[in-house]
Amino acid sequence: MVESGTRTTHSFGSRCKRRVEDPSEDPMLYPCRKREKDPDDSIRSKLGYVLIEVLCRLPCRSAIQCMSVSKSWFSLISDPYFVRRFIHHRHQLSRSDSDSVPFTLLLQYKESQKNILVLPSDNSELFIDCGGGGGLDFLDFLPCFERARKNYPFCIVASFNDLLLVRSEVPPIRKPSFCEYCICNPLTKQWLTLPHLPCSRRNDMVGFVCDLCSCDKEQRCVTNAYYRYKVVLIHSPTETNTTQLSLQIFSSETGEWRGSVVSSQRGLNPFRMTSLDAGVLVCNGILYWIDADKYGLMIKGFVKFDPFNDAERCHYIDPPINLLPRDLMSFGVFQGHLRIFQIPGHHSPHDDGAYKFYVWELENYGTWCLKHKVNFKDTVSDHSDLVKIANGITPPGALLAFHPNVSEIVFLQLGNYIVLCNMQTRVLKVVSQLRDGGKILPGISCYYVSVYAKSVFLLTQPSWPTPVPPLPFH
Amino acid sequence: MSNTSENPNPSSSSAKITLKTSDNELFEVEEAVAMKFCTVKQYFEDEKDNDVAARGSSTVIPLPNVHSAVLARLISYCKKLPQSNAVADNHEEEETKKKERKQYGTPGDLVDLISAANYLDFKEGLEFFNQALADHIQNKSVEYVRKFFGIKGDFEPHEEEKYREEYAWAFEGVDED
Repeated sequence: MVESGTRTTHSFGSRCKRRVEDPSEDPMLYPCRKREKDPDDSIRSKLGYVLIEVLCRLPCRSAIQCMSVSKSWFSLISDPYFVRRFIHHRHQLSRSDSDSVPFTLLLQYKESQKNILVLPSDNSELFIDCGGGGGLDFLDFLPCFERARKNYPFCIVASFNDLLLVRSEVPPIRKPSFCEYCICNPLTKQWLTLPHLPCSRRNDMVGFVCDLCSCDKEQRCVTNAYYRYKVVLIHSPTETNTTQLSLQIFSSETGEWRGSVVSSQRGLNPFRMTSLDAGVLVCNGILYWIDADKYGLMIKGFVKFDPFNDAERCHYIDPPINLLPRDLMSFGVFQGHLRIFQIPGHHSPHDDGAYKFYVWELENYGTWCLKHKVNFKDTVSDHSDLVKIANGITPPGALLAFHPNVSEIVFLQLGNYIVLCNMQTRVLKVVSQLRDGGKILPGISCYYVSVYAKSVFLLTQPSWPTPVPPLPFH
Repeated sequence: MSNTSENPNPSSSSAKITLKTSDNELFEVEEAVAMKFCTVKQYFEDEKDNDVAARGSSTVIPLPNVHSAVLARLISYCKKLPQSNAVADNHEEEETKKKERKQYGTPGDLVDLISAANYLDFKEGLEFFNQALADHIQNKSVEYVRKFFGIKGDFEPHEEEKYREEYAWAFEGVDED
């Protein structure tokens, strides 16, 4: 035997670890186990801090169950550090595999917004049970749900990843009347009620934006274990061509609503149908909404407001082309980029008379790029109703959402059908059909249900559910 | 990986390194294999600096925390190291990987392999065996996990009940052992 020269063995650490005899194991099969028993040396102490590396490889549900194993496991797994490790590990694994982010499309429509349609992706675990009736009953864990039972105004007004922002009101016919916002995670059923606000008779729009911590900027890994958020209530300008916008902002850091005035270089018009139906869009922590002409018919441009980094002013983005009053237009987000979906209402003389749609994307330096142009006449479907609608004399479809993972796929509403459209292959596929109070509505009907963009929520499911932390103490 | 026995003129890349385990067994391994263990690599490089490496294969690196049975398995794992530990592209591939992970024996064996891989700072191995151990306890009941790790639950029954209610969504669909 050769002894090592200059080094002594203790440079490798002096703790001597021994095995535990596991009575369930046959010593004949595992001859190396035939050694003395040491009751103090449990598997857990042998693993030491490596235990966290094993547990963060479990599916999320399993890891959460393991919290109830013991008090020490509880503190290990409930620590935000664990969540960070867990998310980082998933992120490293999934980089090659970006089309697997689970998501759920949630539509809220018709009759004081009480119909709900939930379309989860195959790998989504966010099971929202609407109890067949397609209502808001899945929110019955919220204390404000009693207002929904009394038929007071109650609806989802915004979402961020897997969180929902719900607004409920005690209308002014009752005293005291107020308006209440509630943030919740429908999967974990955690919720938080924000301080009450007086009921507003004005046309307000609301945006909900979270600022997640970046755990590794290079790898673009963000973690939802800690985050700050703002709920931004934008009051409609009272006059045309207004350059001062009045807002109320709730910040998670202060736990309060605060009024603020934001200046705009461009004059803004009061919110009417076009802006109100489209609502507020959130993209990369920035809020966007539509500015229309004074009649509220024609889109003039987009207002951009960054509540975290530039809360003094808002900016204006011109559309890629001058839009005409009969043009249909809506906006959405694809992987951090603002996108526009446009159906021109006028045909040019050289046209075949068919409706087309265009998808524009706002690139990093503020230029619009035409990504897709699809003629509804060229779309393919094995569903006869869809063929009829696509070739009809009215604009056939409206944008619901851009697919979060695949650039060329878009969710459209055609008649009362919810359709997936591949803008490259031009294939249309029925995903679902709108219902009213549980009853399926006819696909083609002379009047179909309008699903407003403000009531379309694309929930994406992070690998660990976003917690809903309590408000700071005052 | 080159196999030195087929190589009549061993070059520096196929030099051998001797590792000595806690039970005083000597393992002669190819340098390429030994260098996967960062702890060994570090030791080896330090030795080189001290000009002891001139003695070549006569260098014996002591591993007082690793038993021979465990080291033998780590070396054999090293030799057929999978190409990548990234999540498989499709379900089928993931199943194959799962089966591969299952071959590494009982949970008790895995714990030994993990603590040895951790001590040797063998990153690919640690990743693989950690996942293999996680496979054993995923979707298992809390009781199973407790028994498995030899942990006694120290929550009061009402605390545990309250906890299960609060996280009810996570407790749906568990294999009872």
